[in-house]
Amino acid sequence: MARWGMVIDLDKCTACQACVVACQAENNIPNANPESAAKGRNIHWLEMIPFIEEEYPHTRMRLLPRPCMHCENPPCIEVCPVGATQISSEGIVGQINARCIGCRYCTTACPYTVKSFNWFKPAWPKGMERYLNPDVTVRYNGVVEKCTFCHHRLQKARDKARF
Amino acid sequence: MDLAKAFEQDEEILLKPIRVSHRNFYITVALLSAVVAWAFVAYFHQLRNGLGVTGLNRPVYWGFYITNFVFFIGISHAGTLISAILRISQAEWRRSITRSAEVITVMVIFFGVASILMDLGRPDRIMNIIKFGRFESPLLWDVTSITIYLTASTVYLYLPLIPDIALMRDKVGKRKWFYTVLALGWRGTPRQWHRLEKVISVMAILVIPVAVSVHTVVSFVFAMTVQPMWHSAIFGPYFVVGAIYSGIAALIVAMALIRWVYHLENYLKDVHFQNLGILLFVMTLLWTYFTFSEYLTTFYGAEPTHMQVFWSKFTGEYMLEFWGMVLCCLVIPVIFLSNRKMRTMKGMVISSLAITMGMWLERFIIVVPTLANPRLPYERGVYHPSWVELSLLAGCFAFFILLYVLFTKFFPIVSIWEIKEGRQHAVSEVAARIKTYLPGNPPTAADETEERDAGTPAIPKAEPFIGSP
Ligand code: SF4
Ligand code: SF4
Repeated sequence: MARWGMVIDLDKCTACQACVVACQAENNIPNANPESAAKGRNIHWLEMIPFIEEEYPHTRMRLLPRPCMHCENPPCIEVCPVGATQISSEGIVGQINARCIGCRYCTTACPYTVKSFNWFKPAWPKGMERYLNPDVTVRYNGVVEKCTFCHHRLQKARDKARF
Repeated sequence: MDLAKAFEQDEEILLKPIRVSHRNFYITVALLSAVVAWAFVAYFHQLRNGLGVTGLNRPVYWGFYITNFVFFIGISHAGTLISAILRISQAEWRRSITRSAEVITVMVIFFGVASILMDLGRPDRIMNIIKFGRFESPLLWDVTSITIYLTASTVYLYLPLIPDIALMRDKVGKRKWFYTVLALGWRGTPRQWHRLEKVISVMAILVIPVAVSVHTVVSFVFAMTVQPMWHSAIFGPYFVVGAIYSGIAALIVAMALIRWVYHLENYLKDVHFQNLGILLFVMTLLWTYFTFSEYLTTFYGAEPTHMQVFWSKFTGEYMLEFWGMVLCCLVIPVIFLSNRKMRTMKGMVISSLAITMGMWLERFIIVVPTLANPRLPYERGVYHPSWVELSLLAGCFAFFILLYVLFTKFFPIVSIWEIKEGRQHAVSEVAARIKTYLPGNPPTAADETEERDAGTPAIPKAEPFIGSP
């Protein structure tokens, strides 16, 4: 069966981070704030990673958008004791939030460190709950979440194609 | 008869902690309970608000709790394993130390399990492990192996307790119904003795592979991932060695405390500590050897991601913990244990305390630096435990000590019947055994029957314990 993949053309990327904001909005990811950022606890499914190349004085700052790689043979799935993270026949690595026991084994096993944990009950600034995306469940305290490759959009597109 | 008098004295001294409780006992219990109560407050705080109240973050997803888990499971190793090995090898000096060792195992293993529960984001979903359990996950191997180990070592603690429980049922006025139930109708008939001995020896053999497997799979939780300095083939044996090492140290501390509090100098003698001290020194060297191999291979391989972790331990932010571990697990034990002059009671207790601390640091140094320096070179984490994690660590220790103290008040901490058995038979048995090692004719069948007849039929120790005046 065909497998899904995502290509990001780094030559064209200007690091504007619009994709990051779009991902946060689409997937009901709680807002990042300075306090949780200082603690290293912000949740990002897609994140802009800064890194420095080459030696001084020829250093170059690079930015790299990094989603979940939806690995072919994902280590995060291997280690989950309850099967709360699974791979679909089309190669999308998903997360069953309602089953996850929050052991955070998958987060430590992922070589890209892309999974996030809900340290507290997710919260939004007042009024923002009205703009949550109804197609995506809001996660709860104590579970791990990750990029789903927007499978809800995929589902919609499929329905459209069928009718 | 001399023997009868000696038996009486054994019973009197060893049952004394059960018969009378000093005021200090109540003070200790009160203090320990206070710490435990505080830990419960901390845990409920965490349960209400979420794991955010800890110092964990991304990428340091595991911290104190997992360190405690590995540490406590490690401590639990010594008891059952040492007792089983000593029983199987018929080491006569085991008699007065097996019980205190086995109790450590059973009590401490609960805190290993509890540490995992504390670490879960959703402890309410713990049953999912049974409902949806996947055996591909090393965590499930842990669950299985630890459950078997807990069951096996509890049985292994209980079986040799039965004759002593029966003795207490008959001789200690207190809690008669309790001991009657637990004694399972033990009368001390030759048939019962025969069965008991058989089951104990089967269990002693059974628990050894289980014990080894437990710590191996604990190490596999780390080794099965691809993270730098976790993905190591020697982690299995390295963890087992570390576990036995810390376990013996904990045993020495516990025995020293028991001896001091209950004045058992006559039972937990210097020779016991000396023997354990030598064993501890052997484990020091073995542990050093494994640590050295582990770090040397990493250093020579010099993979950048591995070296990140390596330097963070040697000169970086985890330097204090790393060199603290070297001091506690190598320098102090070598100074105190390697020569006879320094291997005094005090020296051994100091080095055992150091090793216990050092091995906790070792577990920490394995878990945290790797997570703080993940494979991709952009995410760096720092980890500082919060008051909740510190309280729960203190709570685990206090709870363990509390359970141990209470055990000594309900059951004799030195096995009475094994001491009696030793007094009565061991000397002649060992003498006979040594004869078989020597050149010359092995003892004939006639000799053997003669020796058997000297005791009580079949299993000779039957009659003197229960029902004797
Ligand atoms: S979470 Fe990590 S390991 Fe799992 S599929 Fe994504 S990138 Fe791969
Ligand atoms: S945190 Fe959840 S998804 Fe990850 S391994 Fe544990 S149970 Fe599975």
